[in-house]
Amino acid sequence: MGVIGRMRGSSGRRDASARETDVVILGAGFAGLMAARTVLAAGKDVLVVEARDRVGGRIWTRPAADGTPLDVGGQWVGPTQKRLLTLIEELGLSLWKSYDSGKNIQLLRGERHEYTGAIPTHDPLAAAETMETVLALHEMASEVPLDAPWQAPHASEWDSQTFHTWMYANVNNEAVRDLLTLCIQAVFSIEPRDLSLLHALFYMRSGGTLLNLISVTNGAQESRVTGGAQAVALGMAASLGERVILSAAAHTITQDERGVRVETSAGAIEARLAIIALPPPLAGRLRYVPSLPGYRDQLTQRMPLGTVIKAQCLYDVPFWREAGFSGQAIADTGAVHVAFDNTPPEGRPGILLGFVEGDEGRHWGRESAEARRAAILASFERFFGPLAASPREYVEQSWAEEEYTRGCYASFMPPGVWTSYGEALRAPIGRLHWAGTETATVWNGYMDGALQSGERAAHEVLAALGV
Amino acid sequence: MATRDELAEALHDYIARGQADERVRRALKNWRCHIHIRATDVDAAFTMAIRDGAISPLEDGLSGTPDLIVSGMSEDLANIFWGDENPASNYMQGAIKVQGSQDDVMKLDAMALFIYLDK
Repeated sequence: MGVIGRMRGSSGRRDASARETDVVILGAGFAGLMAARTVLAAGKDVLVVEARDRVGGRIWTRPAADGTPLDVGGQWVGPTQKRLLTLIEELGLSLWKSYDSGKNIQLLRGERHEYTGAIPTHDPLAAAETMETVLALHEMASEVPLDAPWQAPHASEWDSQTFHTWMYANVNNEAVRDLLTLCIQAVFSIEPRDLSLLHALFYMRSGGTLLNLISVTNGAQESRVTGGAQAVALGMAASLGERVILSAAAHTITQDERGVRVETSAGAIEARLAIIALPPPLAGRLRYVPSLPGYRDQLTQRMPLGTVIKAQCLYDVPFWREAGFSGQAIADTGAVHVAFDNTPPEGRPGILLGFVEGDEGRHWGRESAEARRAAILASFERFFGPLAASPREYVEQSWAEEEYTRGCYASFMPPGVWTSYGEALRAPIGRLHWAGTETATVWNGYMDGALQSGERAAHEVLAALGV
Repeated sequence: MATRDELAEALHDYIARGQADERVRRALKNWRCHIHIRATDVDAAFTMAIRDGAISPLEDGLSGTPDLIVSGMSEDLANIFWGDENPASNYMQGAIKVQGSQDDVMKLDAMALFIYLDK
């Protein structure tokens, strides 16, 4: 677009009632807030508009009845998530380690087994093929360029098939396919048939390895933020003060040679540039004037979000620990396919966390709240015995029902999207720049990736502003 | 309890089986790892190096900076290296301690399991 003009000022301003700034950011999740911090630190003014009455986006901490902070959205911090770890330190927050001692439970094909470590080992043949498959996936993932997955040597082949197709062509052992299916459900909250093999490989490399993504100790589930993960967003927002405007749902973005105008439910903002830090499906629901190029719009048409209901049951104590269980469980039937011990570091209340993901999420999200709760408790009871059936409190969060998210954990790429539309993912459209964890190269889909994307988009607009 | 010589013999046998194992070579073809192996109940320590999936001959004593440290009772170590125990069993996972990066630990687990199953 050339030199970025100014919409503000008496000569260029079109609406006296509109607020003015250098950069307007849509979305006060981790990406938008980090972008705002970076722009402000470089000496440019910024305003963040957020549709909800809170910051954090997919990260949300709500108090239980006794005040215990419950992360009903994203919650974990991994040891290689450097940006997030640095920010947590800068904000004066602290971490605690997820509980990862004792036996894990596996309920697959009607059989119950107990194991330790990330990979079940009671069946050595299956364990060996699992490891062989994981190593093969790591090897394939190492070929995927994180900034341009469509340029991988086998991009066309891998983006022309689902993970399911590849798995059934390359993995003979049914038990191994069960485990890989659970991995996909747990990591993406979708089914293997939904997902491009290329995106699966990109995502593994983006987070290090598949093992990183599924592990607690030394993995993506290693630590929690004291007080809840939303404290990170609140800390970032605090430094921005009144530059964060809550309950302001953006609906129309207009750009011309003078600047960009964002209309929200709480008034209009005029700026020189905009960063849209929303999940792609939500970005696609805004009205753009002039309309977005077809190539960009069709990308947002093809990046659906996963389906997950996060359920937490509170008990007086973590009774499963006394029986030697870690609280971690996997199953191929029932509402909950993956469970964790979410007990706070003080050891009470005991909290079991269950994810209802992919097809189970799609099914149970349409059932009544009573039926869903009963199904989730039944899963916990199968894992941990009758005490699990009577929590003192039950808390659930269905992310597909959230008007300003519409799914979790992140948008994913079905087959054909990376190779046909990948170049549109981060490419600015005039004065519009794109952030959000889906645009990250490192830890895509995670809080750390959201921070990276916010920094990257901020540097783009700062460069355009001549900073 | 296994003696130092018995442990060394078991390790030599283990390495020979690993060197001949097609699955080890295929699955770990790009793996480079320096491994220290130490018995906790007898005076026995060894160094094993893996370069691009190929296992080098055993070295007596500890040399270089390890990527992985494997320690345990001499009997448990010998049982693993002779292939008498499933290395993935819960018992062995408790008896043998492995320190290192998650990626290296999984590759060592995989190698041990392949050698055990393919013997």
